[in-house]
Amino acid sequence: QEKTISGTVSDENGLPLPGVNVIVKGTSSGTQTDFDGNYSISANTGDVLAYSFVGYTTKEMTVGASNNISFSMEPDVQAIDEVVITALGIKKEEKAIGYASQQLKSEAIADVPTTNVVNSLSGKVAGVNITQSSGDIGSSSRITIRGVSTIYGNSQPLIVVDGIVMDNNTYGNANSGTDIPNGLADINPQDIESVNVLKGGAATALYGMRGTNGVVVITTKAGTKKQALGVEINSTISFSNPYIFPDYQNSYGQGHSTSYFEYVDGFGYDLGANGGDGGTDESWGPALDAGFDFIQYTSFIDNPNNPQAKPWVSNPDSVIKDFYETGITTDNTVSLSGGTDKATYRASFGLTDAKGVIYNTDLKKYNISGSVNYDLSDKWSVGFSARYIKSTSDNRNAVGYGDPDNQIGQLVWGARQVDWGALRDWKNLPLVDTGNGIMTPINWNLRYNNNPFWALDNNLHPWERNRWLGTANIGYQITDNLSINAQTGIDYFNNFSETKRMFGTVDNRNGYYSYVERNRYEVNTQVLLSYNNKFGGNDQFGLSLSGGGNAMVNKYRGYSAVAQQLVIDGLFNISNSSDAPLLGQSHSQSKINSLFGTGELSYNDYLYLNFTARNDWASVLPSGKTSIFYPSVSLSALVHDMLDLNSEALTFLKLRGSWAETGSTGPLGAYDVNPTYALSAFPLNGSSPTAIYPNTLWNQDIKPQRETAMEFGVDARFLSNRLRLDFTYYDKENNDVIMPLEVSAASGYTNVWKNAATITNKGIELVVGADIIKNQGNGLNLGVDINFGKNDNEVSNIEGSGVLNLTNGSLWNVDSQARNGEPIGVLYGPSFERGPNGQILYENGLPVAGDYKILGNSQPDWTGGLGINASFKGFNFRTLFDVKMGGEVYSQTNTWGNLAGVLEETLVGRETGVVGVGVMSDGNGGYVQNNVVVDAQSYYSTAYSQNIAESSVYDASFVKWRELSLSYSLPSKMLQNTGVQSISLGVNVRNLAILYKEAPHIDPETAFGTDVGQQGLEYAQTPSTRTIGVNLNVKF
Amino acid sequence: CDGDFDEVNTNPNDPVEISEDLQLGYIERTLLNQVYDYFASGECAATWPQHLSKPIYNDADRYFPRLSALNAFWNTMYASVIADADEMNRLAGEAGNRAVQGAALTLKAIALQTLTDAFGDIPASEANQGDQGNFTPKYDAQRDVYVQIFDMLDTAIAHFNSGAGSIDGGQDLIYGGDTAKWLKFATSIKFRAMMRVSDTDLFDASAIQAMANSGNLITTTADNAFIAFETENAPNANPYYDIVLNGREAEWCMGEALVDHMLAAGDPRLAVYANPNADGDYVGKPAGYINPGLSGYGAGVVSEIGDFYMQYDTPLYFINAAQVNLLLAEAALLHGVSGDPQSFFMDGINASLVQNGLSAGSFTPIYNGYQSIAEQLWVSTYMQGYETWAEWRRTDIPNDLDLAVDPQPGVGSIPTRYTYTNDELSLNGANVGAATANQGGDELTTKVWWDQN
Repeated sequence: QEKTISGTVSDENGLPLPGVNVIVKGTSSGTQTDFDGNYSISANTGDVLAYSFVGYTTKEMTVGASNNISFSMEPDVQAIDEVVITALGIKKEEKAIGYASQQLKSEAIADVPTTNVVNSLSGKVAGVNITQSSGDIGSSSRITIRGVSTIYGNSQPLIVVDGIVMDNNTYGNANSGTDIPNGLADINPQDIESVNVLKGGAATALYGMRGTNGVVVITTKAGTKKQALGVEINSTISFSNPYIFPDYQNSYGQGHSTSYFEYVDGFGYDLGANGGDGGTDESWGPALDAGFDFIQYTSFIDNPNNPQAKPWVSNPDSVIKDFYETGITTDNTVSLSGGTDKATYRASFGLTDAKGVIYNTDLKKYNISGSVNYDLSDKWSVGFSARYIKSTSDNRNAVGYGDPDNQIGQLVWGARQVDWGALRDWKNLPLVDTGNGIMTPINWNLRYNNNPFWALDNNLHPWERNRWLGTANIGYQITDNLSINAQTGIDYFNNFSETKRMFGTVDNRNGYYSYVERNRYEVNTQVLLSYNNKFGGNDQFGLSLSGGGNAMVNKYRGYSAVAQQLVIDGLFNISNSSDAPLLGQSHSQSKINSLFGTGELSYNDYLYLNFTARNDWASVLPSGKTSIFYPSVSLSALVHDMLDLNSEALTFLKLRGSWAETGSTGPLGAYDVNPTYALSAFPLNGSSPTAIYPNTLWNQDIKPQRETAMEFGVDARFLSNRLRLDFTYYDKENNDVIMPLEVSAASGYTNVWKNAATITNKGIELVVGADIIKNQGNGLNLGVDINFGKNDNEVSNIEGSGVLNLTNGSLWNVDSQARNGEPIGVLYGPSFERGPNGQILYENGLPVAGDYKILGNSQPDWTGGLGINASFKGFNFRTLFDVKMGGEVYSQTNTWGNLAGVLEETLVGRETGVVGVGVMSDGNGGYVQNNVVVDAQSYYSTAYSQNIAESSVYDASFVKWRELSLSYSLPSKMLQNTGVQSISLGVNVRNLAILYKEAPHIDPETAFGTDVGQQGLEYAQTPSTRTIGVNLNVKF
Repeated sequence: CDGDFDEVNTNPNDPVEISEDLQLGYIERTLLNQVYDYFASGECAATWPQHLSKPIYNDADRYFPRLSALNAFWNTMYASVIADADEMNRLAGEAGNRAVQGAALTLKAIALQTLTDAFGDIPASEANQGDQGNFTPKYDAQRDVYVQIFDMLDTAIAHFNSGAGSIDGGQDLIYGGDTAKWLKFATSIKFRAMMRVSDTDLFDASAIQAMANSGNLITTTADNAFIAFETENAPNANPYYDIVLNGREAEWCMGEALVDHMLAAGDPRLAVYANPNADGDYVGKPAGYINPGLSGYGAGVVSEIGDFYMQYDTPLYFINAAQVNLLLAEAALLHGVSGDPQSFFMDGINASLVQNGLSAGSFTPIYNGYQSIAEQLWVSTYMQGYETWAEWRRTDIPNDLDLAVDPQPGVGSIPTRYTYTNDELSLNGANVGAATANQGGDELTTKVWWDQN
């Protein structure tokens, strides 16, 4: 007879599981568990109750004598029926998808938090290459998926957050100036429910031209229906310290004479003349700790008026001890969520407060978000979400070669006797004339460097970004099979950057001030009509169709002002400019209108044919030629069902294949196709406008670039899903790549817009998962996840010269280039001249500069990750190793560090001279072993110089122990009657160690920014940091 | 679906149409900044004939020019001077403004001559044809470049002589719109170009006589063609001032050859050209040395460039009366042009003295015919790197300049040209190859066509 069955459903850790669907099989009767995991339902003895929840194996229980049925659900680690979010937010069963898709859950993002969520993807997704620029707090990070498929412009994937296209650009330039966090860094990792990476053409074709570099679909957390109001508090405090430093020599100090040093004002160059050799910023001076006494900058600190010679001693660890600081980050997020039977809601507030490892650098982020979904009736539903993020810094660290405020550059050259701690208290240090009567605090060298702590306190680079993301959507279920949904979303931000330099700053002796303000918004409005049905006998055919349209409007306004010199020191107001300030203004807008359709035809739930079609009309294309069409087709076959291969050993076998043709406008921007003159950014004598004929030739015949992508994959699962293998092969060819092709300037133009190259990317991806130890409930569980991605990139058919210099891809005489037959990002520069058998050629004992040639390539051969996770009782453990193999880096830290004699290896031959290994001419057309002794400074300053870059190009391979977290959740029994649902406490570590690398003195994972050309170039980056955090999570 | 796209894709920031003279100031300023770029002009053109040197970071002084600076020089001259001048000439032609056409052609001729003097064979007849689809212009032999330069200047002179049109004074940084002075400017540029080819078959003494007779040569400092900038910031300031602004005067110094010559001659201009060293002496540095400091020629030991030349508003010359008069002296002495060589010579010296803030007559060098004229062409073009280098190559005086110490391996004599740029080698390689074959090499020491001695 009918009776009421009640009980509690919990998860694998014994925590209550809300929202579990409970149905009486064969009836329409059903319910859900509440916030405490409790349910009650009417059923008859003998009825079968089915309990289902996404991510868990559906459990069936037969109603017996007992009126209570309580148990723990078992997670389905790679649930076959898992629903994944595909293009345009369309949810599909994973088994129906004919292309690779990899999804990360919230814990993979949040367990080891970072201030830039992009870094959390590193090593976790096959075929995805993440590069963090430097160890600066909030530094920009770059994502590429399946290789680089554009030569100019953005090579990064489209970012979609809850259906809103989000701008992920940095708007900074780490070659010089400040590195600004990429847009995605604004998102609070604690708000993320899942990250789905759409890699190939078929996965992204529905996004049209903007999806050609892949798409990262981020879904944020939302409330659950019939869930009581819950509050979650997550707090982390973490401590960061640099962990990769150059190996310095500690035996010789500043100067260029081994017997003499005299510091007069830190400004002059040379012995005795007008200032002693404190003006030399190199370390070819006298031996340290050898009993010398010299007048040094510290002599002036002790007694400015009567400096006395002091012992000339080493300070081996001063850079580490006295220059860098411990970075501290606190991260607090409070969220509330819940739902009624009609509505769900969630709100969260996050605050991140971070202090960098460089003195007086910081980053603060405020995140406020809220979302509501409401079923107005059986047919109507509406949803709203809004998110405001304020990211702000009182001082971003200055980076790159050209920036006088990059204090790490001072460490690259920094003389080896320097006690950095002695410079810290700049307010009480003697002032020195930097020329023109301008006084600044003393430094070990003032010609090329300011007192670093004075500069960090005074030459500030404030930055602020305010961002609003918002969506509104409305859905209507027209019939059981037909629904329509409309959504509009906005991503708006303003971004304000300033650079302030006091009088006395190197290269800006009369001060400097600039600001840039950028306002940008993009609105996407979309309508989607969806139809689903099953037909045929036994419903063996399934059909779903969706179609709709999207209108995108993008508007940008930028304003800048520069005071190249100031009148009043320290007053950073554009009106304080000594000459008329330089003012800049840039307005632009663009639109894309789109129509699209997608369909899925299934047979017997084991064969799925999917197709998509989209047409974009892009305003940046030439008038009348604005249309681009993108088709794709994919097939998924569940072979184990088709051939009835189901067994314990082989649980699942899916074959998939897809083909897609996508297109894009590449780097073509608003107005690029139409001719105009320009006004010089520098009016004549500061006042009269003057006009410029453009250097880039417009082209009204430019057409969209086209990418054809093919992909095949196998998804096989064994031993009741305990061993999972997913293999993918892909082959993409991007034709007619759009670019501002470089041409001989003698043509009157430096560049011409053209469709001028082909890029291919071929590769394989492998994802392996294994549950090595699996126990029910609270027992020991141990799992391993491995991912591997190998990509071969090649560019061909470059018009004209077959060579392209990449944007921002130049560091002294090394250029990052695209060349026919080579991968994009080859490092091209001056080599060593070689003898007949490849030995370095010497003349007068010095290596001879050879031809310019390819010295390396910035793209890795393969990337991979190894994740291990384990749980036991309330303990959860997870760790990650991150691997990049192959590729090269040009390290100018090595170039100048050798030239300046500060690195360890420059000790070789200091006293006795150097005999370079190689050959020299025998004077009769032959070669003999080089035997000419040269002084060490001449040797190192020749071998490591702008004329020979080959010496500083290194294999960029590395293996990093990237993440580790250990957490403990209190047993729920202990929390009974406390009102607390759960408490977990954890420690987490990011960048535990670099286990393998070839490049000396630096972290080979480094870049000047997110452009293709900025990869594989290094100079004076903030060292990578190791971060150790403690985390507390409480749910009420 | 793209109904409003024409309007959406209309640039609100930049003009589609401009008046015919709105580019003039930009062209003048860009040309001047290239001719006085301190990495190309300063480190190479002024250093190799041993006017200047570097006591530190002296790669260029050892014949390793900064290749990026040469790239920038070439690219800017073509894409931002010649292309703009051609466009201005076109717009002015449409507007019937012959004065602006004359200015465009004069400035283009200077750009082409500066380029060909530095590199040898260069694109000229096919230059700036990108809008017709020619992105790999062929190189003309230097002789053909000069033929075109003379044509261009003849046309410019005819435009100015016509009296048609006018130049906006606000755009004209050189003469404030004074077309009478522009006529002298164009004529003097042609005169100097003709003297540059004095050792070749292209030389025409009668043309020189005609120019001298026209009264349109710049023979007094009042007519000098220069820009004196009014602000302290690039590109509206003397490029060398940037060195001062950054407190890096000590990275530059005087060349020993010039200092020793002027000391021996008791030349008062030395005190203007150079600052004394810490001991109050004028000391120049011999060319080269890997480690000048260790070799006794570090900063402080050697004399820096004189303060007079390092002001933000120091006049920077396209051409001046000192050089024109000295060349007239040479023309009178060697090529039968009417007038007394020594008188022209002294006019040149006096113009140079005045230009250096000294009074006319305050120095009378020994006059010893051609040797003295050539020496003074060398001395008085101080800080005009490309002119110093060109006059020295043409006259081979002084003929006793030493090879730099520790030169780039393989460079066995003082450079006589720039090597073709990396950009041209990769973007226009076939034509570079043809030019290299035509002029007998692409070395720093290859001689350009007019450098026949």
